[in-house]
Amino acid sequence: MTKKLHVSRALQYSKWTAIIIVAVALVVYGRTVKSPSLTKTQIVLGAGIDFLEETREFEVTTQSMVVASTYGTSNPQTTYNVYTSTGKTVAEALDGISRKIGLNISLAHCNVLFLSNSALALDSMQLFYPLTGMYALPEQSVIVASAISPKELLSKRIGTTVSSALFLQNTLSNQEGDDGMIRTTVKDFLAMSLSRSHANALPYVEVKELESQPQNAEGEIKDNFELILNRALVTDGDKHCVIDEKRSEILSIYLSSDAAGTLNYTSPRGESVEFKVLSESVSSNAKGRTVFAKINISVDLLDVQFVDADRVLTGADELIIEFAHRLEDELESRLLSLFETSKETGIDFLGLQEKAYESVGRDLEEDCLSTLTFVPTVKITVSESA
Amino acid sequence: MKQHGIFKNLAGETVFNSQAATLVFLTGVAFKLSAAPAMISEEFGSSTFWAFALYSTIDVLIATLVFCFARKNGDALLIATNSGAYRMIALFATVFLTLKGIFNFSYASSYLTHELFEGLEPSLIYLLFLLPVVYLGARGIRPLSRTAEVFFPIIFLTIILNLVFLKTKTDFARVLPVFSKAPAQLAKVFPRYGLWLADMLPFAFVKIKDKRLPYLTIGITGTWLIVNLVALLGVAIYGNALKTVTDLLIRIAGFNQLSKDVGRTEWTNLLAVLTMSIISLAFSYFGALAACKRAVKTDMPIKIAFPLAILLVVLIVPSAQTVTDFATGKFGYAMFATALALPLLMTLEYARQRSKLKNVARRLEDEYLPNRPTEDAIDSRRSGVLDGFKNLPSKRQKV
Repeated sequence: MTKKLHVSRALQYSKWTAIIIVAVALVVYGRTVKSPSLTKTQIVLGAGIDFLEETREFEVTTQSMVVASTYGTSNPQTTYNVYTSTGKTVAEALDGISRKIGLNISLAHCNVLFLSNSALALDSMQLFYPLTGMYALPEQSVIVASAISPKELLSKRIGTTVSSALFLQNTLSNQEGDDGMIRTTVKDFLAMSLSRSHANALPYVEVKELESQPQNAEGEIKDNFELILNRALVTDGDKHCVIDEKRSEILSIYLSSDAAGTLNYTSPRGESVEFKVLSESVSSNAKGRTVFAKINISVDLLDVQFVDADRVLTGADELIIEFAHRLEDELESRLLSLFETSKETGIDFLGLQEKAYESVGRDLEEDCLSTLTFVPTVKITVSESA
Repeated sequence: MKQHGIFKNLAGETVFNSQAATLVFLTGVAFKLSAAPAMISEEFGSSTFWAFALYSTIDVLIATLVFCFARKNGDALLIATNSGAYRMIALFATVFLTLKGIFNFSYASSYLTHELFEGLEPSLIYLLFLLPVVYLGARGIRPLSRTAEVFFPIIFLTIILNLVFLKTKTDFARVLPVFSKAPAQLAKVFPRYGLWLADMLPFAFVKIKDKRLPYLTIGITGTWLIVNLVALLGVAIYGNALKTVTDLLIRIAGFNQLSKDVGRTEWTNLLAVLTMSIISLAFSYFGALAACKRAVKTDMPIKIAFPLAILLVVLIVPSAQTVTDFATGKFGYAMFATALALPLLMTLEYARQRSKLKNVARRLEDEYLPNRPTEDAIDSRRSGVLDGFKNLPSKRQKV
């Protein structure tokens, strides 16, 4: 007996039913969701948070970009506005800024966050959670510390891009590791703060007025500054320490995964060699309380000066390889010096306690930095260039 | 009707193994990779990944048990024999799946109202979110699995592409030490997260028809791998800060290296998570309906109670945190025990009935023979379990 087979009509059309439901839902959402339009939103490029210990208030500063064109002109003008407000919470201060400018604040495109030393001493989780949650601050935003307050820093006019936030965003993204530029994101900061090491290393910005101010047809444009980024601030709660240029250079390589930039070696006789970093790999592991760090750097010869040679030197020359070996030793000694600073200040910015914890396990006591041993190994490979 | 070498005369609650595999993926990923890693991380620290891997492995074992039960046509046998024990188990399954639906909906709606559509009337979100869930669940397993089949390629590709283009600082050693606390201490709190187990339980009430490839095995293995890979990445990226991550799958999309050129990319996985959540909740609803039908012969009570309970909880309970605290508190132990016990008891009851009615059980198992000639198939329109089995050939067909 052959039975007549029926394929359910519902089965045939269920796909279309599902698509129609989704389409209808999207239309309903689109018509009902009060989405803040761009004309009602201030796009923040950079934000700064300072904690005023006297009043126990947050001073929040934002730098935002406004593109506006006047009737009758074809070229829109871009202006960078800086606003500051205070509040008992960061949200209250941001709300204050929102009222000042009459627009909603969006941190969704804020890629640089300036923090003062007093703000760095606060509970990082409580500080960042509302920013990344309610205000949509990207977790890839770079945190920056400075010798001056975030409010002052954001107000400075930079000769090249006008906006200090844009300048830092581009520089730290493109030249991480170059001359001590460390890129610590909000996510990395939280991860390190909540680890056994608790400490972080941040780019430390210093500001200097330009020796020669830019000129245009109307004359000199005054009050332009340059930002100097070759030092690092290491921090753990209320403990802070500024690391000098040379040691910041290797620290940025040690902490980053994708460093670029150059490395210089100058011999006691004054011979100077500049290498360009092509790639790097950093691995660290612990055996008990001894932490081993291996840094492999692949470099290209960039420049040689004051060397007694009557021919063009390349990466294959023994002299250059010898310089590379001496640079290895120098970088290792700089790392050991950083370890000593770490122990003296009690700031574990090399992340050694976390590594020891991974090896020793839960029995490792807190604040055991002084009981750890650090063994760094640097290997430089010079590639042969034409 | 023969298409692609297989017979398409599927009975009411029958799906192909390929469709079941897509449902396994969507329901297996949806809520496991949203709030679960953050909550587990808060308790387990560096042991988070290992605890997560253990949970997902237990869930695979539960799913295996459920699929074995389904393949043996255990549901049909136990309905045919009018087993009282099975009716009782089905009643517990109804309650379990309804609770799962309430907890998961509560989390999803809280995420939508607080983090995504802030400022919108929450009740509107609840209604809009609940509508497709109820519709899909009430339509039954076939429209549900067809919907899953349609959305699966888009969602799978989105997740995979976000993983391929992931670029951020990671440290895989953050999964060490394995025991962040004494093993006994960890074991004590481990069962509190039973809420995320037994996602595949509704498959016990579904008949699965095989295609040539072992899609279910591929689906379960693939889901286990992706879920654990994302959890591993979560620990490697965030370390202990994972506890601050409200929805891991969405946050991970933010580290897509293309975001430097095209802007923020979290929305890609957000769409995937929203779709998966709806399908997963609808699957729970379907499971609760099917279980209720087996327990009290009608699914009408739970058809009304499931959405009503969800709405009441999200409207009356002040915050999703209260619901989560309840679900992962002492009640979590009950959820864990129920998740393990239900498929186990179903299988045991099936084994008991099978030993009593060997002949009937064998004929029901025959329904799963692939490439069965159409004229011998059980009436597709009635889902009549034992209808027409007199017409079946007396000896089993060779595959």
